Amino acid sequence: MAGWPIFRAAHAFWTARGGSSRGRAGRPLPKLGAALAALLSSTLAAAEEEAWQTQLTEQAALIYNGDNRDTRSGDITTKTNDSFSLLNNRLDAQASRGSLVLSLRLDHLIFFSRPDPVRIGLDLTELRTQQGGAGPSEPDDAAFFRQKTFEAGNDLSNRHIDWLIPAKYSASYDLALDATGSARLKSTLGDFHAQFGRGLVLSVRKQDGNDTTIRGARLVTSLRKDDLRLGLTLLAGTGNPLRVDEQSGRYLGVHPKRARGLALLTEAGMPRAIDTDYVPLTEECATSGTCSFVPDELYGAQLEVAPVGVQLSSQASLLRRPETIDQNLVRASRQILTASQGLEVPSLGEFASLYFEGAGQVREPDVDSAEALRKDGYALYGNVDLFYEAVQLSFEGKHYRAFFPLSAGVSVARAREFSPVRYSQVPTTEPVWNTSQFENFNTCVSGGRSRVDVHLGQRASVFAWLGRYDSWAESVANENCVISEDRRNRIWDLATGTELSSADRRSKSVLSVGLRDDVTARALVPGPEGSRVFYREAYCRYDLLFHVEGPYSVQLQGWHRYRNQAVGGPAEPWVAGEHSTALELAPFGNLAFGVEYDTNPLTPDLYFNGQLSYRINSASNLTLFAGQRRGALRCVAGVCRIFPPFEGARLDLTWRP
Amino acid sequence: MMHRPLAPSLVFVLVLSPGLGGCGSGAPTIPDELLACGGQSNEDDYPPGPYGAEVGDTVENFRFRGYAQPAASRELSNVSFADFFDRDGSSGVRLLLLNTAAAWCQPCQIEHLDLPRRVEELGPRGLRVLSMLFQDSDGRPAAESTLESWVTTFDTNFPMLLDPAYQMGRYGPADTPPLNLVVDPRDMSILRIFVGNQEGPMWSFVEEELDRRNASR
Repeated sequence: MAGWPIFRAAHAFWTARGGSSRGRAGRPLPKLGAALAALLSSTLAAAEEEAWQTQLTEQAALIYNGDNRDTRSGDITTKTNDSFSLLNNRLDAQASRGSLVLSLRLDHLIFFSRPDPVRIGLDLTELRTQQGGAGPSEPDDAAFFRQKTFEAGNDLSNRHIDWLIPAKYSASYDLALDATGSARLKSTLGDFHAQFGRGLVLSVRKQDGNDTTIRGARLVTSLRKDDLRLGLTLLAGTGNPLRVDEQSGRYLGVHPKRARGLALLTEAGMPRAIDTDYVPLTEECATSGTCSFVPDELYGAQLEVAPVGVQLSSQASLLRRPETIDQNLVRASRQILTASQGLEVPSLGEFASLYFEGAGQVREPDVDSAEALRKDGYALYGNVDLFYEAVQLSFEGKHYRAFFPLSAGVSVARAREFSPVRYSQVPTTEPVWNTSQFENFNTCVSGGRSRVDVHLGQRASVFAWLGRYDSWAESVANENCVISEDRRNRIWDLATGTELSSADRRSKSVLSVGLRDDVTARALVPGPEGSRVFYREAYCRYDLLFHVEGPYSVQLQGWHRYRNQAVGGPAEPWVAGEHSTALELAPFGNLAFGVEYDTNPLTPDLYFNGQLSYRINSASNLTLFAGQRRGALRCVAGVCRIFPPFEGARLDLTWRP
Repeated sequence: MMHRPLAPSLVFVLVLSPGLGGCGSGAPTIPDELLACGGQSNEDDYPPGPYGAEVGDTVENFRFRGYAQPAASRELSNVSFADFFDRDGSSGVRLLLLNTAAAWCQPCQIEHLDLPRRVEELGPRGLRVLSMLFQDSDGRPAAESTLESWVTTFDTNFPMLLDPAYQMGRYGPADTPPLNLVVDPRDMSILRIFVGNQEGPMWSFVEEELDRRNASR
């Protein structure tokens, strides 16, 4: 009964105050202190009655990167991603006693081998000679060698460096404020995830291998009385993305002398910008080549009120940047205030549910270059689900105008791998695997997607969806979100598929095919043969699991795409895809073989790989991957980024004793 | 804290790490001919080094081959940064924008759909734009045919040059184009670096800077 001591302490405080809000005589602060001391001692006394429980999780990845076959003449980035090996060791420790939970995650990165800038300069000089040597007006071999060596040295200055990082740590206490537990107070100091509403205002969580947290303090109170629920969340801290990108070996460095405010505390022990042979460390982050991150200050509040059948939520976040080191519209904003109001009806007459959220955003650009920039934006998002017997109909809609995700304060020029780090996730209404929203598609858009699922008995269902969007920031850079016909892209996205399962549910399949048609209202290519096609795609996806006999199952997974991109990308349509075949031997593990392909001339055509997984116990496993994986080209927010292919091997261990 | 791998934290690493090491290859040997001094383009009338790649640094004088005036002539010629150095403002160059582009890069193309209009509008106020095309749609070093196709497609009205060696790699990696450097033509120092087509912030900065420079004359 953890709540009783708290209740007694609260009662002591109430009594000390005279039992009335008018009883302000005396010295309230010492009385408050005494009450808090009583509260603390009584809760600790309660906690002492319980034993400490500990849990360790060890995750280690031993990775070898070979030559990934992407070498291009004069391009050092295609050489700096070859020939390095590392151990990424993550130790998670958690100790709890009663409602008190302490946790610590230590990341230890050790690089065994790394590329050499001089070697890269020599290799690229030799490659150029093999391809015909210097052309007219090109630098001679000596100048070329120096340039490429310097570029490689610059690029490698914040890569492949050993770090021991207190990546995440926290102490949290969940307190029942009354005997029934209907009033609670949960406090966290250190790292925590947070999401308000559907993520328009704040969303800091684990996603796609990124584990961004806020490092600071959070208080969550909740109260349940009869059918009314109330919740209040307050938080403050600095953004804490993972500091090392495993794929590239690059780290995010904070200037050792420029941490200010909250960051002085939260950045203790974190990776710092350093001085190298190629890049000096100056007094300013802006001119230090390895300074790639200025921790953003984040403040947030959310109030939730839930009377019977309805949930109302009001939330706001404030992102403040002590210093800006990137010229992107969002990253160059000193301050961004985002607020929203949400309404959720989880069950509307047992045949529907709905969610609606309206948000506004105000940006304060850096001191200059601000006159012509729009500083505000808004977003409306809604989701309705309808149920009728075997039919489920879902609709997701959005209407965004100059509404931007809260990108973290990283320098894309110095640490491009971290450009996706952000503190909000503006809903796309599209499937999570969709990679066909280009540029600033989602910042100035109207549209939505309807999906219908029809259940044909217990073991079969069919589904189809239709998406329709207008975006004014995909084929033009339109940060101000000016709505006009010559900026408009019209997008249709449709798909259909089926889900089947066997009587014993040990075999199942999901199959789907889809199309995307993205055209502009104007001719994209000038001249009589000008085309309006911006992007087109046809694809199929499948995930088939066949139970063979006893512990044996076979799983086939794949995604095959026919793509055509008029602006940027290859000159001709191309195909890309992947297929894997896995043999599952329950409960011991599985063996899988994969093949990937991509006829985009920027990348090699074929990739082969194999993977062997062994389950040590229900929570521990060992996986060996060897072979090749294709890369990707993504163009978002005015910048293209080539995700390089992988070629090598990795051994992953997850061990929980 | 920075830490060298003196004590790897897992026993199996100790077993496997010898196979992952650098194999004791040592430093590579540099042939004498690559140690020769001299630069690519040494103009007498250009700010002296040291040159750098950060805001405030002076850009090194690179030279390229391409179309100096594609709207008027398709004759290939040499163009260098020194051609835009305007120490005393007598040439009327108030601001220089150095841009990179690759044919496979979507934002580069989007940017170039708009650049000729910007040059028409801001050229009379002293803006000069110089763009370096470095790769074709297949990721190979850009060739004359790529350049010809590019200037025809986008009706380019400013110097459009070839950079097959990607000399501009000193200022930004080839895998994140486009790159835009705003340079002060009086001393060739970098005023701003824009990674990507950051249209709003960049043109806002350029226009304010042009206004300020024209007002102070």
